Formats: sequence, C-alpha cells, structure tokens
Amino acid sequence: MGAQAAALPLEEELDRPSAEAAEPFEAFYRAAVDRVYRALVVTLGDPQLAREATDEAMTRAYANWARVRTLENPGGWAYRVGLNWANSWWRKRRRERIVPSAPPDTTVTPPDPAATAAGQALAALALPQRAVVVCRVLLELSTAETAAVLGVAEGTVKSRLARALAALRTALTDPSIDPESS
Amino acid sequence: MNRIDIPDEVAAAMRAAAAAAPPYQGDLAGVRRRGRARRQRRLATVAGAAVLVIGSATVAVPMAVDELTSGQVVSPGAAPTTTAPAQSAQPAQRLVVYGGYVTAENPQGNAGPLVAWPVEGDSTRAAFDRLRAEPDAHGVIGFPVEVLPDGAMVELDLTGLPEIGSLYQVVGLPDGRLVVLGAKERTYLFPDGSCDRDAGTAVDLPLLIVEPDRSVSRTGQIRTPCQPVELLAADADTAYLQRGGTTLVAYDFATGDERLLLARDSEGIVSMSVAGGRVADLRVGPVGSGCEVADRRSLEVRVARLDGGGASTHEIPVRGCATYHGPIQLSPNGRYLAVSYLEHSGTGTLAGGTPGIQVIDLAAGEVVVDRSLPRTDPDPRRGASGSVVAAAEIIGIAWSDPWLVRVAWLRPVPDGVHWLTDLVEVETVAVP
Repeated sequence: MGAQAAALPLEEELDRPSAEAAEPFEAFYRAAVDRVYRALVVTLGDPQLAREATDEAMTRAYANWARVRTLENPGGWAYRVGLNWANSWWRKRRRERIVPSAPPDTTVTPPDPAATAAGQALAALALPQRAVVVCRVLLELSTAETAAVLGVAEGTVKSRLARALAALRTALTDPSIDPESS
Repeated sequence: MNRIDIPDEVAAAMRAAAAAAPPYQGDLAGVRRRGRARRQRRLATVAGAAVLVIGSATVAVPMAVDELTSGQVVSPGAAPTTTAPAQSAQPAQRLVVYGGYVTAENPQGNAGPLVAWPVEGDSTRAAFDRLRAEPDAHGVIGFPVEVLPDGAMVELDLTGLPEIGSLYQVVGLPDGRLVVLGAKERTYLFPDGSCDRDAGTAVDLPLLIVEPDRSVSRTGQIRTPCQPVELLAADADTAYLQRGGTTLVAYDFATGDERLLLARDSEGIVSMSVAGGRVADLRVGPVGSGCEVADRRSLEVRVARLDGGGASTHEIPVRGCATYHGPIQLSPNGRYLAVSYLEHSGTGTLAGGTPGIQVIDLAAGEVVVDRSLPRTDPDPRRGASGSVVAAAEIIGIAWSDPWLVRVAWLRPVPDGVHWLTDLVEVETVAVP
C-alpha cells in the first residue's frame, strides 16, 4: 500500500461534547455550512442530496463537537463526512424510499452560462477527481489538507487534480468536447 | 494562477457553478436536535425508555389457538396475557447483527476471507485497515451492531469493560440495556477440536446486564464445558441460553441458578428462538435430494411453552430448492415464527441463492407469508483472492411489533474486506 496522508478522525471516533462546548458550534455552523453545502452540490451534482448530506454532516459535527472543534479543519471534516454519507450504499438504498417533505424550489432564475458550462464539465469528471478539485478550489485546501480530508495520499491528490484540470480546461475551452475522452 | 495553482478560469467557473446552486435551507435547531438524538443512539441509549408490558399472571393451560390471537408485546419468558399492549416507539425486539469473518471458497479451492466489519469505530478501524492490507489474516471476529428502526447502524462496542472478554453475544432489551454473554476466546463459545473433553476443560463465562452508560448493573456467570453456548433471548431477570445446540436453559440473575427448560434430540435442529413465553425450534429432516444444490427436506417446527403448559408440532412445506440454515425468530406474543431460508436456482453455486423469509402462523399451523428478499447482483469487480462471490445470508430477524418483522441479510459480494454497512440489507415484512 502506498503512503497515506494522516487521516482525519472519523466521527465515530470522537467523544461526546460537553455542555460548555456546545455554543461555539453555532459560530462554526454559520461560517461553514453554506460553503460545505455548495462544495457538496458541485461534487455530487444533486442539490437535494447535497442538502441532506450537509444536514447529516452538521448533525455529526454537533454530536461530536468537543473533538471536531479541535480539528485543524472542521469544515473539511464536515465535507468528508457528507461526501461519505452521500456515497454510501446505505444512503443510496434509503434515498430511493424518501419522499421529499417540502415542495421543490420553484424559483426560476436565468441560467448563468458560465455556471452551466462548469457544471457540465464537472459532471463529466469521475467523482474522486471532482472531490479533489472541489477541495482545492471551493474549500481552498492545500494538497496535504485535501489528502487528509479525502483520506488518500498526496500523490493521489496531485494526479487526480492534474487529470481533472486537463479535462476541465479542455471542456471549458470547447464545451462540445467530452472531457473524459481528452 | 491563484494561490493554489488552479487556473483562474477553472476556479472562476467552479465558483460560478457553486454560486448557482439553490440556497441552503437547513436549520440549526434541527441539527442540534438530531445531534443530540445521534449521541443517544450511539450510546445505545433509548430516549424515553420504552415500557415493556410483562404479564403479571400467566395462565397455565395447554397451548390453544385463542391464546395466540392477542397481539401484546411481552418479555421472552412471559406468556401473553390480556393486558393492553404498551405504546412504545421502540421495537419489541432489537435487531442485532454481527460483523465478522467468513471464509468463502473460490473455484480454485483456495480459501479467501470475506470480512465484514461494523460501522467505523475505535475498536474496528485499525483492525479493518490491517485486514484490508493483509487479506490472508485469519481468526478475527467483529462486534455486534444494532440496526435501528430508522435504518442507522450502531456498533454495540463493549470492549474495554473489564468484566467482558474480547468477544460477546448481545441481546438488546427494549429499555436500552444490553444482556451480554462474554468470552475471552471464540472457542469458549463455539468449541473446536482443540477442546479437550476428557480433561474437563470447562470455562466460566460472564453474563451481565450493561446499562446504556456502560455500567454493569447485574452480574452473573455460567460454566460451560466443551459445548457451544448461545444467548438466545433475555429480559431483565432471565437469560435464555441454548447449550449444545439442543438444550434450552434459563439463567436467573437474582439467584444465579440455571434451570433446564427443554432438551431436544440433536438430529436436525437448525435454530431455536425464545419469545412470548415460548420456545420454538426448527428441525430439518432429509427426505431425499431434489435439487442440484439443496436437499429437499421436510421442515418441522416444534413449539413449547416455557412453563411446560403445552406444546405443538407443525410440518411446514419446503420451498423449492431452499436450504434452511439461518435464524428463526418468534414474534413477541409467540403467535408467529419467522423462518429464514436461502433458495437456490439449481446452478450449483451457493452464490446463486436468494434469501427469503416465511412467517408461520402457529395458531393455524400454516405459512402466511413467503417473501423472497430483493437480491442485489454482486459487484462485478474481483476480490483480492480471486473470484469468490459469497452467498447471500440472512443474519438477523427481529419483530418490531406483533405483526412487523425486520430481516437483515448480507448481500453477495466479491471476496474481500468490506464494511458491514456496505453489505447489510434490511427489509420489513408485514403479516397480513
């Protein structure tokens, strides 16, 4: 096995929060939740799933806040928890049976051509590549931090990022080209 | 280029894609509420402890149809009464499955491990990583995991309690407590050839009741010779143990006494279950071979009251080429018996089996539910040691109430190391 970056603790490995540790969670939540959510939207390509994953990640962060607050990058931890949760087989199974309790957002906004093109280009990437790019760009993590968040080696981060960027550059330059085939 | 060496146009496009997402509509209060509930679940604490109605009087009459028609939830040892059923949000029986180690055999005849571990936790993470790196590792047993009513899985991790060895069997009480049978070695629970009967190598095993905060509230001890022992059911006062595969005993926590309840002949007993003041066992009798894989067999269900008040026997038709090796489970009131099976397609491979469940109405003596469980095709990827695809296997049955039964099974997967959460499927089956 290749060298692995230092893994972030998993939520089950963390202790219960003390009562006095509960309050700073609100500051973290307000500062990080939208960024984590949007990172998950871009990674997963499904706003509803991203919202549920964000809720789950924040719930786990709160349940483990005494330890999560001590992490160097609680937002990255929340992103990873949400991503793992969304991609788990268990989640997929349950998701098939969920009926949304609220009607979908019917707000009509004019499509942003740049956002549309970026979304299409990102959608063509493999999910691991997408996650790396999201960590580097939207969460503004370094290579080492990205490796820690995603639980992979730094070399893996670099190689995935290089392939993703090459594909994205091509797709954004000429959207008619399938990034995966470049 | 920006500070992280991402082309500016790519970064700008990604930020545009993120900004185009609909706004997040979460709520902090909801997160806190669910977070608190999650902490409680992780500790196997049941908020708003369920009330279990235990019959104050048992009626010692022979088993009859009319007494099997009530639907109340009772403790395993208590016979049904006319007491009104408790209103409880918790399942009458908690669904516990075990992560662990299964050896499958690939077509080349090589044994390869299929390792399924519970949800990630302190006790399993390191072992999981080690096994994944060393696929030929052997002899590791996982920990019990509870499948909660909402589908979440919680590891019932009791390692570190000095009273308990490295292995344990668990029965979850509806009030959140656990009845635990511990052992230092697997062979204490399931002796192998190394057990020297002549030398009388009996061992003492701890039998405990563990509170949600991990404190031990009741302690007991059983002594077992070279004989398998299994904790079948329990309530706050009594643990029901299957000894030697054929004998049922009741251990009284108050006195430490062990009482023989039932001694069956050994031939053909597949499984036992205790609930609703009754014990049921499933006996499979060979009647020839009609399928390539599975023997066609007769099924016999025997039910007896724990107080000795009555017994009945039912012959159950075998389903096609099914084999019956999995668990059975009596409903909380003892009226129904859920029986697991694995039906084979006749292809000659266990991997071709489809799990299923039959529910037998013990009052009428007939099968009222026969349900094949949805089978997910195996992942086409090869495992670490070849092409092994393990058979689907039912690993747990528990009744949520007198008419709803939850069934957990492992879906077939390639040989390899897997998280239990990636393998377990759960289906709820209703009795019409």
